[in-house]
Amino acid sequence: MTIQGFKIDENKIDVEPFFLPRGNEIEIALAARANQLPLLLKGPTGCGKSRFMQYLAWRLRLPLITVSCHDDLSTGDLIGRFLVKGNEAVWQDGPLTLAVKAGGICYLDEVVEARKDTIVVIHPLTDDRRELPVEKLGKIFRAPPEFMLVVSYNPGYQSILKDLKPSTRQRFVSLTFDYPTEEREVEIVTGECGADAHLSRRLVQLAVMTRSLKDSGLIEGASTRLIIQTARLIKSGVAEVDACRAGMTQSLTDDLDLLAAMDEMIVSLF
Amino acid sequence: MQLEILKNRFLAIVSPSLPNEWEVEDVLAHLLGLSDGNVDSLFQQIAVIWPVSHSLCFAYLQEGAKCIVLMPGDLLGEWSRQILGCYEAGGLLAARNFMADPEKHFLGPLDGRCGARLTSLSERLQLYLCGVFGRRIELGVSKVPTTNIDRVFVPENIDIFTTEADNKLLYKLIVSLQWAHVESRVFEDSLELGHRGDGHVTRWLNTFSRPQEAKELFGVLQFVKSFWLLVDVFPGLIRRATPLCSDLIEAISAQGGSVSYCNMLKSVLQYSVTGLSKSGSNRRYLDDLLKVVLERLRSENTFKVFPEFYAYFDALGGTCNFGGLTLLLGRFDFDAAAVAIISRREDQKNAFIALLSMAVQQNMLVKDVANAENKSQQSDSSALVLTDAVAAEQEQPGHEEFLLQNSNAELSSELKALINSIQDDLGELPQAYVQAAAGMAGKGVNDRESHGAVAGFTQCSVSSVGHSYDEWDYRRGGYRSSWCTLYEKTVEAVTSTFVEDTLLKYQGQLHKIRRQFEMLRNQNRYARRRRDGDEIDFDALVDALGDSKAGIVPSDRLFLRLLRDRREISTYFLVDMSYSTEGWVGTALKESLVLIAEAMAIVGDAYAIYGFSGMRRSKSELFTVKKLDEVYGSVVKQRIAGIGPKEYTRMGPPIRHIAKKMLECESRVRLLIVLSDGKPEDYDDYKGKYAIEDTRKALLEARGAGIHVFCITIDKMAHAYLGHMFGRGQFVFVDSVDTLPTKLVKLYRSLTC
Ligand SMILES: Nc1ncnc2c1ncn2[C@@H]1O[C@H](COP(=O)(O)OP(=O)(O)O)[C@@H](O)[C@H]1O
Ligand SMILES: [Mg+2]
Repeated sequence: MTIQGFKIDENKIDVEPFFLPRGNEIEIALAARANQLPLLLKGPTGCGKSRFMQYLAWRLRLPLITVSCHDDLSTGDLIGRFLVKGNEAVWQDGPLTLAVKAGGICYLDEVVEARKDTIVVIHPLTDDRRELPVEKLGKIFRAPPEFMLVVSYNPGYQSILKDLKPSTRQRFVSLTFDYPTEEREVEIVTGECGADAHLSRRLVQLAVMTRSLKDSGLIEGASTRLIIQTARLIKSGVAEVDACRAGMTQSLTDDLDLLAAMDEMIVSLF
Repeated sequence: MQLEILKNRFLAIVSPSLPNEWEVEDVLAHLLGLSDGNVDSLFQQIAVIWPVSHSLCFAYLQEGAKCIVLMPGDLLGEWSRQILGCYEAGGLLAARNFMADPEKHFLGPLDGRCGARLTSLSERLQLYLCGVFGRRIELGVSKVPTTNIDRVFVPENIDIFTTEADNKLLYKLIVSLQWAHVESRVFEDSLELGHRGDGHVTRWLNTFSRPQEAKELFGVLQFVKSFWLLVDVFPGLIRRATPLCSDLIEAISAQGGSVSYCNMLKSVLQYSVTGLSKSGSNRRYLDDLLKVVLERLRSENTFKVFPEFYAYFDALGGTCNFGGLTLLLGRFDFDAAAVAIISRREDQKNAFIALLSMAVQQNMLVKDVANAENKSQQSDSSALVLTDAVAAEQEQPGHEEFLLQNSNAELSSELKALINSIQDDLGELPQAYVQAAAGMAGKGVNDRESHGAVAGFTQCSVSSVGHSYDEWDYRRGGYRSSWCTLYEKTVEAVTSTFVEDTLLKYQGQLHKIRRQFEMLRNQNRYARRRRDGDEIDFDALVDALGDSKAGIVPSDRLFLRLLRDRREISTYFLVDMSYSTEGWVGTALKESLVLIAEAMAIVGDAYAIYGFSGMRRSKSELFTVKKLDEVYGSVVKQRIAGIGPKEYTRMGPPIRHIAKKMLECESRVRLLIVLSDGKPEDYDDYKGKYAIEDTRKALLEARGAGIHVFCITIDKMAHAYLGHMFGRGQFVFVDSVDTLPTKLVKLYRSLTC
């Protein structure tokens, strides 16, 4: 078991995170926030969902508490539990309770990874009750207006077992994240790691090419995150072709034909 | 060595076979002049080849006698392995051809001196093409490379350069150039010439004084434009390929007395490829004005630049032999491309109209619901936004565009992508499209795929003879009610070794498959917080300790238990049994079923297998191979073996019928996997767009009812409409037999892990 001592102030973001919007996501998120509506972020991995949350938290001057979901996550992990200290039982708030009490943003990343029976605890927080019952304490916490619940998931993930139930899904305002346009992605890569625009453009081109292989057997094309990581390798002196292999294509698949084809793309570009 | 001794040694090796003695002598006579060492080496391989084929062995000895002097004896083992390979792939004739020229087929390739063959490259080249084009593009074969924008044609093999690596590089450059032609929009631009797809470009070229040269020169000019595009986009490719291009250009030769013409062409090409006028003597052909003309290619289309370019050559006259450069220049099939462009535009227009009108209709629906519920608070903000958008539209009936812009955020990503691609193509979204969609939306709603609309399935009547189903008619935007009748049958079981053979054939992969599916089974094997179990759940225990200290009754669920219960997925495989699957597709389908059955046995998931075919709307047929609760035993195995091509492919009724069946079964997660060649077609008017739209509708209905649907398409080439019919990201395309079975298994794994 992991015992996480959350200190809410440590989760405040002081410096403006670099975030380049795709469309009106900031506007919509602010409107959802003003109406106390929870948010659902959908999109492939590495396309800026987490970054967006950091930006939003900074913009709203709210602490951000991120929980990465996994299938062993229990309600106790979210809400809190009694721990034994010395000879006493001490209640320790879980991240969700903490965010509710302090009025922060609770971000459940990759929410479909959590078991469905765990996720139901968020339901009373997502409708107009906006409350969190904590059975063990015999208390119900009402969320202050600042509290905001955000979940994310990746619909491109093929597994049908990892899908959101309609009853959960329909409680959220949805924002779709997708790969940015080429121009924007170049701007993001340049802005993020200071790579020169020329290199960024080539790397983005490669990523875009890998994304076209989706119907040919590649589960997911290269994300913005992989582009940035590759750019960083190159900036540290790794040869371009090697960096593309190690930083991008090899991380996408083990399929030899796909890898060979992507290798052809790399040597065409560099 | 004496013939008698040779013969006895031979007979000893091949015994107990007793080959015809005079035949043996005939063959061995060829070996008489060889050294003892060479004979020994040759004889070593007899034991390997003889059991495979006696005639092959004789041929081997005969040819070997000639070849042995060309190659070191230790290569004979590899040589005979390759002979057997050829024999298995192409029979005796292929093996003979292989042996006839050891230099070309064996020794050359051994040290990388040989041509490149498409067959050995196609998979990779194909994927590369998809990446470059950003969409699925098929490779075809043609002597001179060309494209019709949906397919790229390249020669079957290339042996212009000595090394295989260079020839492969040339392949890559060729397909990249074909992409560049498409990307430069030369085909779209050609439509501006008027007269579309009926020799419009030829007619235009005929207006020049020397049409034959005009055609040639046009090819050269477009090559330059495309090459420059590649310089920008694929610098790595160009860096490697420029020396090859340069060599090919140097090899161009003048025909007849047209030396100046030829030299001028060469300098233009050389300048365009390397940026220099290579040999000093050619420099005078390339004056600065001509360079300026060429530079205009960077911003203008080839048709515009061409007349001025042509004028430079008109005075000279002549013709060249382009040699290997022909592969790079290719051939322009403007007519085929025009047809493809026009039909793509038509498709996009229809798809746009259908999608937009659907979106508008849904907005109306949402509005109704919202009104009925008196705008039930702000529980569903998206409904409100949509309602507003529709309201806006109704206040200003003439301004459909307003709706489009304002509700942009609510348009489906599919529609948005479509709008972008139409705008890219035509420069703007034609008003007529939007108006047509608005008109169609006005005609009323026929929406069965929205969530919860299960009614569509229950509506159909079940008579004792057949089940009747509605069919979607996209032209009228509505259903033809009780249009089709479906009958259930059972595949006849046949006794055969098909299943055993398949298992043997995929022995290697099966091992891996089994391991992977075991992992799937074990993935969630510990259930936490149980009342009893094999191990203590420490998380639970700590919680309980804390609770009891805090005065709360602690939970007694303190154990981890190993669970072997079934995963709650039931999967239906729906297999195309139409005559179009006859041949390799059908075999691959059946083999896949065998492998998936193996995998399912390991993971323990429930599954069913049905086949479908039929003829006309009055006779759709669904063939049971395995019912959900049937065990995979000898009967099912015999039914799989009994699957064979029947009649036509009307996909709607079987999908609707299976969906209905699936809704009846008790399972939390329902997965439908449709395996077909992606060509819905019946004997009657169930074809083309109609068939595609009905299939699409049937799948949408199933999805709307909460069934997960995934389609696997097996064919040599993917049609552009697959994404529309099956849903983007909801299908995979498989184009080779050997990969289908394992791909299916892999897919099932990734869908359910
Ligand atoms: N719109 C964006 N603006 C700035 N950076 C971005 C943007 N999108 C992606 N990135 C970069 O990509 C990386 C991965 O994004 P992240 O937010 O972690 O993805 P996700 O949470 O969607 O998996 C970020 O660390 C950031 O560097
Ligand atoms: Mg993330």
